[in-house]
Amino acid sequence: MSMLALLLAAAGFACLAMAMERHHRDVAGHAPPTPRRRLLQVLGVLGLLASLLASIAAWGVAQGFVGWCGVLAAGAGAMVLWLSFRSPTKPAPRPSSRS
Amino acid sequence: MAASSRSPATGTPPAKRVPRGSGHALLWARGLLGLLGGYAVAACWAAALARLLPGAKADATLVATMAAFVVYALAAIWAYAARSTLRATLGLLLAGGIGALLAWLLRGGVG
Amino acid sequence: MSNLGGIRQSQSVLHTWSGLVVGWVLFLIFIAGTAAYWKEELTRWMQPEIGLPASSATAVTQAQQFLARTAPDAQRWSIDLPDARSSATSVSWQPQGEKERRRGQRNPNQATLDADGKPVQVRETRGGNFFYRLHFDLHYVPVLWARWFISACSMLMLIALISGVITHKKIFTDFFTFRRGKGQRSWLDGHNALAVLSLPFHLMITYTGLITLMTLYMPWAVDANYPGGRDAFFAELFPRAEKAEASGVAATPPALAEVLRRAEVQWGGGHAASLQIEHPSDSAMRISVRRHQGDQIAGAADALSFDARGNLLDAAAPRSAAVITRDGMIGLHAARFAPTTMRWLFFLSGVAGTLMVATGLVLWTVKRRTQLPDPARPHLGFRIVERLNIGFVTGLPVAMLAFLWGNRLLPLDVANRSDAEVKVFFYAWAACVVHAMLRAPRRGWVEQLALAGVLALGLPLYNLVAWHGGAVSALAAGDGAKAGIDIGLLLMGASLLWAARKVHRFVPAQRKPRAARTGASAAAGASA
Repeated sequence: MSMLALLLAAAGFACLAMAMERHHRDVAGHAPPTPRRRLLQVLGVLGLLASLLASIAAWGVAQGFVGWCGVLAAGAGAMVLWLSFRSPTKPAPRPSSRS
Repeated sequence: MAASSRSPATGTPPAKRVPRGSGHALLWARGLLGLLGGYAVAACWAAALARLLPGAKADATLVATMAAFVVYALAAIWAYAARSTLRATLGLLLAGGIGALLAWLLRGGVG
Repeated sequence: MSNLGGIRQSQSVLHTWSGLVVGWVLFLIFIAGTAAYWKEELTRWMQPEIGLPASSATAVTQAQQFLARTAPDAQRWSIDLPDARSSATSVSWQPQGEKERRRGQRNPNQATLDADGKPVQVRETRGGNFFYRLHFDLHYVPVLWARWFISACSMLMLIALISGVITHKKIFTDFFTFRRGKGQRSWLDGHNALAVLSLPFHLMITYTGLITLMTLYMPWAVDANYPGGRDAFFAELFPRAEKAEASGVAATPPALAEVLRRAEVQWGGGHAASLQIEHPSDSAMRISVRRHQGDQIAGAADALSFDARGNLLDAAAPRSAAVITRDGMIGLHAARFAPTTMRWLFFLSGVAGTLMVATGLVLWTVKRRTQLPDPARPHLGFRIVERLNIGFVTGLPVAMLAFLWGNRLLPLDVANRSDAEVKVFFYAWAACVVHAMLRAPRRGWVEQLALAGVLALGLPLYNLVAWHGGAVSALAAGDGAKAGIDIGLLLMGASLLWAARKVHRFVPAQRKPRAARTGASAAAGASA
């Protein structure tokens, strides 16, 4: 159940990230059209709320909110790493390459 | 505002540089104000809230202490955000003074 | 006039100064505190002589039998029960006529019992508690001074967090942004990401940390309401039961497992952490059962008292809202309530906080270097800061791993063994600081990262070879704690070696290879 909360948070953040022009461009090559943006934002928020419910199911009400903050951090962190490492950095120019 | 930049023109965009008055002296002044002045303001309000808050003495004491750290943070932020060092100092004196006055007025009357 | 600029700029200055002045201390607090989330598991790992514990009911019965055999006439018995995270039952007793021992004094009247109730010789070690204490009591300094100093640094951390949020213009637009390979921009992106994504945790941990030490650092509310002295305040908060007087009539204690069960019923399904019996051979005995602090977020070690026949004497008065709030804050900080998955989330947030401080420290040197009149020849102050960064950011992990190695390699019969392990920590740290001072910065980073990686990877391998199969056998026995530490060390070691490789292979974009080898380019803009 806590795993479900993590997955839902990651999915929710993925939607929210894609709703941002900068990241949509990175992934899809063009800015998102407005209807798609709205949809992604709604899905993203729903995903995060669903992960809150999953956290409460896993840990109870009080601890669920506390755990949810950690779940959100992990989910968002996963998204940051995914978006960052999708595109390899252009290596700095160097005269000789080292193996 | 005398903004004497201390960095050479190495291409750092000017918008990122923080305008400094008299360099380090200003930072020290604000820093001490924030650190020590903020603490003094928080201490005054800890005492004031302890006597002001309703409820059992021990409980009011706890809440007042917990709130004091928020006061400290706000005071420190004010010390840096205020538009001049004079305003910063006056603001802290005022805030601390009100707290101390409240605490003094309520002395001996706590249930 | 003497303006610091607009609100964002003024807060940027505040943020940099409040963070930097105490950055190294904050790094120590974060890294030791984060490790302390696993302190029970670390203690278990550091005492490999014992295996999995028995259940509390079994353990308390075994403890009772042991104490009845060993110290039937003692004036006090004390039993610490094992829980899901810790290994062993600890018993101690106070013989008739002896004064109570102060904390920290060695106590010969104690024993550790394994899952079969037999006393075990475990190696003397501070265990994970060393890291726990280190992060607020420091070491080698009086505890009050250390806590005062830590409180002051935590206050600056709180200010740094708030001013950091105010000054971060693009907190939403840059939420998912981490641009690699772009030098200072990358360090800033990393610092921001680590800070913003776990912002609730960072704010919570800093504020609640202050709350745990608040009566020391901000006693003015207490002084205002209790002009006669602070003791009156503490007496009101923590009322002490009067000590029972021996009646002279002999008796034996009731079955403690039954007393335990009654306590758990009284708590509505809670768990006991420890038991104390005053005058266990007398009919006026008082049995106190303390609740486990991990039962609730607002965990408190409230005690229930039972008499010689196992009847409940009194239930503690319910806590007021203010006390529950305070206990809740302390509970959030220590996270004793957290089950394993949530504990991992707390730990990861702690790692994020540690790296946030580290990236802040490095970012400062990276940024400052661009402002130097001659970047190839920095002045002494900058050079010292740059090297102390290494001494802390990589030196402390090396020292912590050396501590674990000391636990494995120090002979079991060394006098004051737990102090010896602590010495290993400090010697290793000092050596790292000296190394950082002597080496060119880039070499310093690479060598210490690599050393830390090797030390981390070596421990689980050592366990496999020298400790009956290490993580593999621990997993087979269902000992998640021991296996978890080993696996964590493997991951940590791999990450450290990866980082070392990254720094080693990095070539600053605009410099010629010749300049790169003088090391003056240091860790400038190393892509994370």
